[in-house]
Amino acid sequence: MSLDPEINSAGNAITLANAYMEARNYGRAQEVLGLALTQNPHNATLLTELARARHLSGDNDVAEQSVVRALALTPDDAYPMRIYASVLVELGRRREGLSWARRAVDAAPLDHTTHYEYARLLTTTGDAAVALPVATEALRLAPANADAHDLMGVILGMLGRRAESTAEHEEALRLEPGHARALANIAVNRANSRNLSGALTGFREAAQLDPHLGDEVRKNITATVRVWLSWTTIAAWAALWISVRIQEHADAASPGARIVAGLGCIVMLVMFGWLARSLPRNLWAPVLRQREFRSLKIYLGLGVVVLGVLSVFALGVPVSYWVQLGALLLTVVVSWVAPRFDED
Amino acid sequence: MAEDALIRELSAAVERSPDAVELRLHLAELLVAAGRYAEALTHCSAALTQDSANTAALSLLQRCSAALSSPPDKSATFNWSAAEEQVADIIEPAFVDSGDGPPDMENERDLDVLAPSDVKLADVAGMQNVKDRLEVSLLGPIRNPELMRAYKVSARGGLLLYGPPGCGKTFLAKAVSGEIGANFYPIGISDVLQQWLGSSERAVHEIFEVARRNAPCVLFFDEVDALGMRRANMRGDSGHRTVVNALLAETDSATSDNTGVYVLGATNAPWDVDPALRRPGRFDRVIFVGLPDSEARAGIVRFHLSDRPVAGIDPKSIAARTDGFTGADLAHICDTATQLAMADSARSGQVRPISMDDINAAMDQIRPSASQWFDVARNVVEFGNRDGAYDELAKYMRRKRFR
Repeated sequence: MSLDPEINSAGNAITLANAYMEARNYGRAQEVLGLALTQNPHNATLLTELARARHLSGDNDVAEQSVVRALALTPDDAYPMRIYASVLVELGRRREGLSWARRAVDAAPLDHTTHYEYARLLTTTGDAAVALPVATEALRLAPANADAHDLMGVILGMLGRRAESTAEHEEALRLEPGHARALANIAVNRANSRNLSGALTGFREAAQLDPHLGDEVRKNITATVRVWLSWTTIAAWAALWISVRIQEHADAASPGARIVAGLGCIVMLVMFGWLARSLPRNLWAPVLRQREFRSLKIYLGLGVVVLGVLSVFALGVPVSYWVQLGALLLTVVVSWVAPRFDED
Repeated sequence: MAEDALIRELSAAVERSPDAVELRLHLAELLVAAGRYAEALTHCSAALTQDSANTAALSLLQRCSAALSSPPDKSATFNWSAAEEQVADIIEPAFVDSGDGPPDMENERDLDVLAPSDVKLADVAGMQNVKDRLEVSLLGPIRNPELMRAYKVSARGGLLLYGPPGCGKTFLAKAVSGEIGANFYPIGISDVLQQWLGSSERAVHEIFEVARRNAPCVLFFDEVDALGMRRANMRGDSGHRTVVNALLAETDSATSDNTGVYVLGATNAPWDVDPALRRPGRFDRVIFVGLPDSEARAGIVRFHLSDRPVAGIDPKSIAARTDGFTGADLAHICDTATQLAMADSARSGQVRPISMDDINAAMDQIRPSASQWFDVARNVVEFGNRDGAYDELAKYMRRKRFR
């Protein structure tokens, strides 16, 4: 469908562009705004919206050009200021970005969006403590804004106040039941509280609501599975260690060792069963294809080679020690870096 | 005010000369322009009593009835039963059951927006699977009304085409329209969305009215995801919500008679379309339009190079090397090759045709553009396919190794 040549009214163009941006069709939004700008080249709102569309599509260099032109036309307008702030942070010019966000707050202190954006940028740069009062002000100005509640949840989560954080995300969901981001953030809190089952459900539901969250969700599911894997490995290692110790101090066919080993197997089976139930089959392959697992496979492979070489050259050493060493190595590798759950 | 005075004077003149048809029609036109449809309709009826073949009177009358049949005006005092009796023996039914013959335009203004499509499914190269599905789900029932009657089914409801951008969804919709010999009424979001409160909803209603007036008509909504976006995904202050509600009302068979109006939609993101729009009676049939197959790719290349000077071009070989390319990508390759040949001609001063070398050079520069779409589609298939709505897409992606 060709664009309507009658998009001569800036207002209509902005309405259309916003619809496209809501539908994440940033390319079309830019086309509409570009067309309108040929007829209204000095319209600051059009320029700012164009900058936003470019920023959302990741073209921050060109977004900067548009928003700077808009700011030259309306230097006191807070809207281009906050778009500029966001663009600058994305371009890696964090300090400049935060300063423009601060300026937007000063220019429009009663506009909750300026406080929201400033707080959001502070969280992306890790300044949760500074972001907290800013987000509080945004919420005071717009208590029914779901995004503001969600952001507050993220900040509280970063500060370790997990229960309050979950409450804020839940409030966002109450206000906007389709708020997939809030749902994903609740799942992150569950994962951090080691409620792995709840976390997996939450992640999947979030991606179901908004498939665009899929990549992030897949990563978080992978992190959850890694936590599970480290628990399983620890259980296996503990069972092995205990049974080997018992065997060393008793007969080869010690019933104690058998019981402990059997219990270890049961624990592992239960854990595998839980994972199989919590993670649908169609997600196994995508999760195992994640980068985190690829590196894990490499480390495990290396571990086996090292173990094999040591066994060959040290035949006199009891095998049980190598088994213990292997299990320990596995545990270290699996828990090598504590899995990190992405949240926004 | 001046217009009112003119109407008063003309009314007096018509009273003095009740047989002056032209004068009466002029008055009726002024009344229509002033929004006084009921009065205009009386004059049209009177004019038709005197001259039953008067096309201007017929056209005006239909405009009046269309305007009056939309939201009922409680204050109107027009006697409908009397008017119906007056014109019953003069006017032929607006819509005929048979789809034979060229579709009629009921309103001159509609000519600007409607176009009978001359594209047929046979003009769509390849994509046999999609054509078969169109035949089964839409064209077959429309072509065989007696079968529909026998099975007690109707062709109501709409069809949603989805797939990666640039793969010919709009062209297919045109071909569907051409196949059933209906008017083609394409709607983009710029035809609907307007900045003033309430005007978008009015635009939706007017669009459906035009389609109903000109049935049989294929009403084609492009970018349905931007127009009928999931209301749950909208931010609280989105004025867009009411547009979705208007679309739901117009496609609701309980409140609107859409006989002869076939609603087709195209979207790149069916998962972002409001679920209510996909319920029975609305966009209840969904067809996946994937990347063009080899035959389609060869056809697309042939089409884009058809009016250009070419030499030694082998569309089949190009098709074999462009698996994963969209129709738009192929058009881009042809354009780039043309530019290369032109630039070379300008350099050498001798016009030379587009050759396979130019195509090869263009292919080196252009990468398939649909991979980003398939990234999102992969998320949908993995996380959002609990009800099996995207099984066809999942199967396609597995076959094409996108997963």
